[in-house]
This record gives sequence, C-alpha cells and structure tokens, in this order.
Amino acid sequence: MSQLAAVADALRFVENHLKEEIGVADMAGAAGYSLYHFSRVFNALVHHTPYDYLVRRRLSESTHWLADTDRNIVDIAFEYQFGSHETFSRAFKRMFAVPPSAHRERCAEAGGVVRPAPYLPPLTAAYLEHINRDRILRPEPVEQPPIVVIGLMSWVGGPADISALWGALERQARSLDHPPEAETFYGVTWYPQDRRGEGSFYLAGFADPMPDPPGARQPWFHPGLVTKPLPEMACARFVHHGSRSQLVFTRGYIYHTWFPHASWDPAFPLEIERGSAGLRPLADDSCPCDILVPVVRSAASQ
Amino acid sequence: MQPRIVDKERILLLGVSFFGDPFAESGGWTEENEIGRLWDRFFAHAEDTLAMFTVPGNGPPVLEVHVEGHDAAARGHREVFVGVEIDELDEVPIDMLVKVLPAATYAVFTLRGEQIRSDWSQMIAEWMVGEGYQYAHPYGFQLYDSRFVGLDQLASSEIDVYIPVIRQEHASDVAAGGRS
Repeated sequence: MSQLAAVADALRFVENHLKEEIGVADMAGAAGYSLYHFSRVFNALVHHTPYDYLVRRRLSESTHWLADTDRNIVDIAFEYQFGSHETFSRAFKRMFAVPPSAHRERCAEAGGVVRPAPYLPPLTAAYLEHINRDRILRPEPVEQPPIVVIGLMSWVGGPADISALWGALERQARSLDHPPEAETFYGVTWYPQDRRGEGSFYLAGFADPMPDPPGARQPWFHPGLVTKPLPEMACARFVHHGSRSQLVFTRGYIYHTWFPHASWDPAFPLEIERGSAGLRPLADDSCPCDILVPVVRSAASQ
Repeated sequence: MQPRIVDKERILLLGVSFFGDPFAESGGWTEENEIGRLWDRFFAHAEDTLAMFTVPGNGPPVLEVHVEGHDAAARGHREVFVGVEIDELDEVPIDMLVKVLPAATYAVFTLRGEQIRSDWSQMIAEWMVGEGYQYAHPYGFQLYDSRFVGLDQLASSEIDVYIPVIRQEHASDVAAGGRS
C-alpha cells in the first residue's frame, strides 16, 4: 500500500471516530504504521501534525453542532473529547479567533450555518494527491500592481455556476462591436464577510488593456459589463496545476492549511485566478493558473 | 402615460451586481429573490462602507439597472446592478463594483402607486412603437429617491424609469445595438 493510501486510511479512521477517545497511536494503527513513521509520513503529506489534524477536525465539526442545535456548549465539548468547557473554548478561539458562544450568536444572526475560516473539512486521498504535486504548496510573494478587471459578476454556488458565467462572458464579449483580445483571464472570487453557506461572489473577466486615465476612454466600459478596480496588493502567488474541479483543493489548502501555519493573514476576503487562456479558461480542463491571495503580515508574527 | 425626454451625460455607478435569472426562486416584489438580496447587499455595503443611507430617504438616488445582454432572449439571464452615482473611479471599496452607462437620451416615465408593481415594461414598449423610438442601448434603470417611501407605502411612492431611446430612423447610425 502506498504511503498516500495509508494516510488516507488514517483520515477515514478519524472521520469515523471523531467523537471517540482516539489519539495519534490509533491513527497510526489504522494506517498500519509505527507511531514514529506515521507521524513523519502524515506531516509530509497532510502538512498538519496528526494531533493538530484531529483537533482541527473535531473543532470544525463542532461548528455545525453549535449552529444547528441548542445543546449546551459543555456537552459539545465533552462529545468531541475536549474534557472541559474551558479546554474546548480555548482551542476553538485559537482556531477560529472567536469563542464557541460568539460563533453560535453569529450563526443565529446570519440565520444559518456560518463556516468560519479556517474551517477544515475532512481531507481525502484525492486532495492529498493534488496538493502534493510540485509548486502548489510553495507560494511566491508578489506585488500585484493595480488593475481594472472588466466582466460579469454573480453569486456562485459551485464550479457549474462559474462555468456558466464564463460562458456568458464569452458570448457577451463576442457580441461587442470590438471584442476584447484578452489573453489573460481574471477570475475574482470574494467572500461575504459572514461566509454564509457554500457560495461566493465571482467576477469572470479580463484586465482593462488601458488602465488609465480611468475616466476618459473605455472601449470596454460596455453597459453590459461591470468594472472592478483592484488596488496594488501584496499577494502570495500559488500555482494551480490540474483541472478546474481541483481548484477547490488548492483553495482549501491555502485557507485551512497554509494560512494557519504562515506568518501572513488574508488582507482582503478575496482571491484572484489568473491564467493565459483568454476568455476561455474552461476550454482546457487542465489549464494552469495562478491564484493570487492578498496577504498582510499577521499580528502574531510582528 | 407620457414620458419626458432628457439627455444625460455618461453615468458612473458604484454598487453591487447579479448576473443570471434573478427570478429563478421568486418572481414577486419580494426580498426572496436575487433582486431583493441585491438590495440587501447594497444597503449593507452602503451602511458599512459608504456610511450613507442611515436615514431612510435622505441619501442620494439609488439606481437599479437591468442589462439585457447576449443571454437575455435565449436563457432569460440578465444583469441587475444596484448602485449610486459617483464622480470618479479612483475610490472604489474592495467589495464593490462600477457600472458605466454611456451618455444617452432617455425617455423618463414616472410611475406612481400600484403602477410601480404593474407590467410597465409592456406599456413602455407600446409607447416606443407608437412614437417611433427604439432602445438605444440594451438596458434601462429605475431611479429610487426620496419620493419612494417603501413597498409598504406604495400608494404614496413614486419612481422614475429611464429608457435609453433613439428615433428608429437614426438607429442604423448607432454602433451599439438595441434590444427592440
């Protein structure tokens, strides 16, 4: 059995025993490895220590119970093996920056489950395979100059909605009197502050070929398109290799694994996909793209 | 109903946008469709980011723009943009968008009370055919200002509907297509 398959067994074991009194040795047993070897392999492939992963999964799962039920926080703490209200609250606040009670209030105000960053979903073998390819894991710091992105924007619930938006933009662009000859596409995703549900806003577009002066020209300022000026930003640039459907893995890695371990925080709740397939980023399913995430030095690192 | 004809310079709007079928979930005048949600988002931004509209009816006029682009006829997809006019593009909050409407001649229809909820687009289409006008650009907008006091007080509310128009005999001179 490959190391990846063995670690995937351990991940499945965690999901099946989240509320039971299990530890790293049990995870190692599920993988069929010695404790020492398991810790090393798990770290190398998952980029969390086994214990950190177990605790983060329990805390992430507890967010649903806090939002969906009126069970006492202390009961939830014991159910997820934290031993006491205090231990649970401390760990919860360390991961999500708010105590469990505040998360519950936020969900009540939002009228549903709010998925707090950096929520860690159950990881899978497909995820591990994807993120352990070259270059995805090591972002490069870049200064993104100001740009004006022009396109169509909507609320999207998943890849199918994004695909539909790119299709609409391509048709809309073709119908212009002077269709843009954009070689680079920009997909700007931004998240409402409460991150309610599973969606985000998405702008499918291209960069304005003439960024200034902003008021005077604008062949692309067509009434059927929207314009989004983005300021100069310090970004972490991740290179995504793989299919569009695997973007969710790259994004997931950035938010639930890279940020918690980096000395950077997201500067704005948005990210930018940038690739060289013109306005047809979906034509080639394996089209590589950059993912630019605006960052700011985390307070803890200063 | 007779509109007034006005010329307007290019309009720069700051706001939020939706593209798709805004009535997929509900076709009524309700907050339970994408237009209702768009207004909610706009007001949330307006209060948080723009520090305006804290007093109802006391802010600048808000425009609800409907753009019928390439996908409108075949799929029923349109863009809806809710925003306020700005002078310059240099100060755009990170979570908002800009919409640029070209300089145009508009037919402006003032709707009162229950007219606001009626199928006024049909009435406008008939007026345009009768008067020899067609759409100059594939959009139109509704302007909400202090005269609109709320859906719950529709009887004492007014809005203006702006339609960019061009005389049919001049339409072939215009590069941008209409939707007539």
